[in-house]
Amino acid sequence: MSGWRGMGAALVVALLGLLPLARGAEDAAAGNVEAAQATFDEALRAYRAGDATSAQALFEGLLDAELDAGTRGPVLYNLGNVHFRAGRFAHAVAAYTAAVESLPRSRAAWDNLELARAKAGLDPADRGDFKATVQRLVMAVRPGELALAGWVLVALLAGACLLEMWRGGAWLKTLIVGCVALVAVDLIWLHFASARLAAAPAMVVESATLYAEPNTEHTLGRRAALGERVEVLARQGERGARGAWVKVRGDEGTGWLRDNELFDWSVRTP
Amino acid sequence: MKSLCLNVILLCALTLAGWAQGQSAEVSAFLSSGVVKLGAPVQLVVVIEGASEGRIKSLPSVPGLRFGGVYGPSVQRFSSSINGRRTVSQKSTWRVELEPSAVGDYEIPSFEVEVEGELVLTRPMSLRVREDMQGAELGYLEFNVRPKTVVDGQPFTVEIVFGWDAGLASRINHANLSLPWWERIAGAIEIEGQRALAGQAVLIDLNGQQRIEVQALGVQARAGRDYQLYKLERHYLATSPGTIEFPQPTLEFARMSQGSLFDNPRAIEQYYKSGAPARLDIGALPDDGRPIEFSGAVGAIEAFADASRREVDAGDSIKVRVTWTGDGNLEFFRLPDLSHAPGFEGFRFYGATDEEKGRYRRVATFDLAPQDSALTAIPPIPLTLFDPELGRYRVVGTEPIPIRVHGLSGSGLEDLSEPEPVDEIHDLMEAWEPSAERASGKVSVGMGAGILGSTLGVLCAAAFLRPRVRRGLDPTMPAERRRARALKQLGRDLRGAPDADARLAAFCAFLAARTRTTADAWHGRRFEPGAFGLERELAVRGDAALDALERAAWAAGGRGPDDAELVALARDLVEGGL
Repeated sequence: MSGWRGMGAALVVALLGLLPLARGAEDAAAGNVEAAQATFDEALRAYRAGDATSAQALFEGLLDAELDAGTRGPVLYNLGNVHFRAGRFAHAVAAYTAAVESLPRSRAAWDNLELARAKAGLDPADRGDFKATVQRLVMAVRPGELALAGWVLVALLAGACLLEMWRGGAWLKTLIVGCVALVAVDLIWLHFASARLAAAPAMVVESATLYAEPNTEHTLGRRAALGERVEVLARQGERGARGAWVKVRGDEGTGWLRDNELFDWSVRTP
Repeated sequence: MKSLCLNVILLCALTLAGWAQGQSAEVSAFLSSGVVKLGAPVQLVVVIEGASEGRIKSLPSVPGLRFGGVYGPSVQRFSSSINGRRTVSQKSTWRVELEPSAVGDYEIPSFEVEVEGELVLTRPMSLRVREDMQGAELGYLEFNVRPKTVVDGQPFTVEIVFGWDAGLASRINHANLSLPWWERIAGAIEIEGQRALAGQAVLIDLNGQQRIEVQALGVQARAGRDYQLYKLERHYLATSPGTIEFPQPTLEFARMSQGSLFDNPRAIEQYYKSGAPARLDIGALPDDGRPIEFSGAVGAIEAFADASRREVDAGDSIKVRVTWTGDGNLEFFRLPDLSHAPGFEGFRFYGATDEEKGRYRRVATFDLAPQDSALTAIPPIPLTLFDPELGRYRVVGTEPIPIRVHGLSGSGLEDLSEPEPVDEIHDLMEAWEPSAERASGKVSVGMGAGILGSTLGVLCAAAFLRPRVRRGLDPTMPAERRRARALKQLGRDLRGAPDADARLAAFCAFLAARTRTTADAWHGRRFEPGAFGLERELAVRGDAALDALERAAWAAGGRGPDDAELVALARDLVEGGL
């Protein structure tokens, strides 16, 4: 018995010792959010003042910060507005496409996306057919919301199991089966929503020639089409830097294209 | 038949006598008649004598003279005995049908016949084809192709009017039309749509091989003479530019004998009448001025439209029935796509379906839904076609159809309609919604694994703990719950019972539930002393209640004990051990 007490005391001490560390991480995160909020506000002011260049730089800078989905969506949306006003409709399409993935139920983001696609000469993102409707339905709930629903279902399942142990009864057993079924549906939905978010987080914004190597000497004789979703495989040079190259995988296979021919909204890993 | 019998007899004779050789082969070729009427049958006959093997190697080519089917060989063998010497000979005959296309003299040159491996040339022959003057006078044959010039994709009609002198009508019982082009016309395909024959339909021979139905026109005057006339009409669609030559048709009309079992029908009176050849020029559709919306329609076409209803709510479907009529390729053009047609911006176009496709009429239904209450008419439905008469492309439209569209304002259904297209983007988002959710999907995958693990953990823990927890519970608890459930059910049943019958049934059901029997088993049954561990007093009370309920049930009008009394009794019975 004394052994159990000793172990418990050690665990409490260890947890107390970790508290300052946890608080430090929380403070750092809070500090990051405050800094990002300040940058966001500054970008808004620059845009309102007609300084689109500064607004664009500030919004793009925010994409390099560690942001959650709820914050990242407005940043991408506003960046899309900056590109739209500048007449860069393909860039706007890419930014709005990324925005609706973070804010799938935003009417404004969808409207702007469709308008930008029309201006860029692309087909509508939501064609209104069965496949597009199902895809939009799946994407209407964010993975975080699905995860939250999953945890609620797990809690409900646990409660139902406890009650069933004491009371028994058919309706409690039905509730348990229902909870398990709903958890399964939730997990499948979560899988598809997550996979779709993670897949091909970049878009070709200029119809581009694909090269075998990161130079213009060895063309593959294939082109990446405007508006095509691609997956970034490798980079040569900093993102946004002049002369940078990106290796992508798209509909036409794998190849290199110039960085400025691509809008990449993948989450920046520091 | 005779020849076959003779052959069999001769063959038997030869078998007995043995085969004797010794004759040199002879080849002869001749015409069944050197002078024939145009349209009359004539045959080229080739005979090989004195050889066991032979064949026609090739037939010559003579302009205007068509060599038809080759029939044969028919083989005859002969055996003779002269002064004790037996001689056997064989004769093989081929017949080739000749079809002269026009009046004239035809020279048939020599051609090769192979006889037992050696080539032998026949002698040249002459065939003179003359018009049947009597047939030309008594017969009538008119051959028309309408129109004379068409464009690629345009239909055209071939019409043959034929007949014979009305004075012969009672005698003529056989007619045969020779139309060399009938089977196939290069550059055109036959299309459906022969109009229903207005007059009596008559069957005649066509090309001597098939029967065809023609329309009897009756006796009509032509060039001052009365003829019994018939008409054959077919429709075709020009499929490629060029020229189609139609060789001259020939009509054979005759009085034939009836024939009998031993005699084939033969011509007693026979005439031939030839018609003029015809020609059709097919032009290409012009590329200049061809609209993108060109549907492939060619011809003189008119359009009419009608709507299934004129007064609708915004978003409701209207079926517009469009009918195209006229002389054109109605069966072959593409239906107009109204999703991008000018004037239909305020409509949603669900598609069009064909209802009827014919030579002279086509009907299609367009499904349209007006989206705006400001719309007052369905615009003309356009069909872009090529008009051969005008020689240019033009648009044939229906008349506008007036409609009244009611808006959905206040109905609560506004949001179901498509959002109005905006030409301007929405303003910036200024809301900042930090949340715990990470932007990338990979974190969520980990969370999914956590949910799955937790679910499995909960289920495993429940499976592990459940037997232990249930072992630790009061073992009488389930029985208590069953008793409580039976009492509760009795209370419910009594409250809902409309008469004494139902009350008796409810009480019997309660007793059945507590004694594990059926409700019917308690009708007329009584508590036996000591049964179910009940005290005597309780059993007596129970029996009294059953008696009272049964009396009330069988005597109309009574209700028996009160509900409260019954429930109290039931509770006492349960507590007493039931």
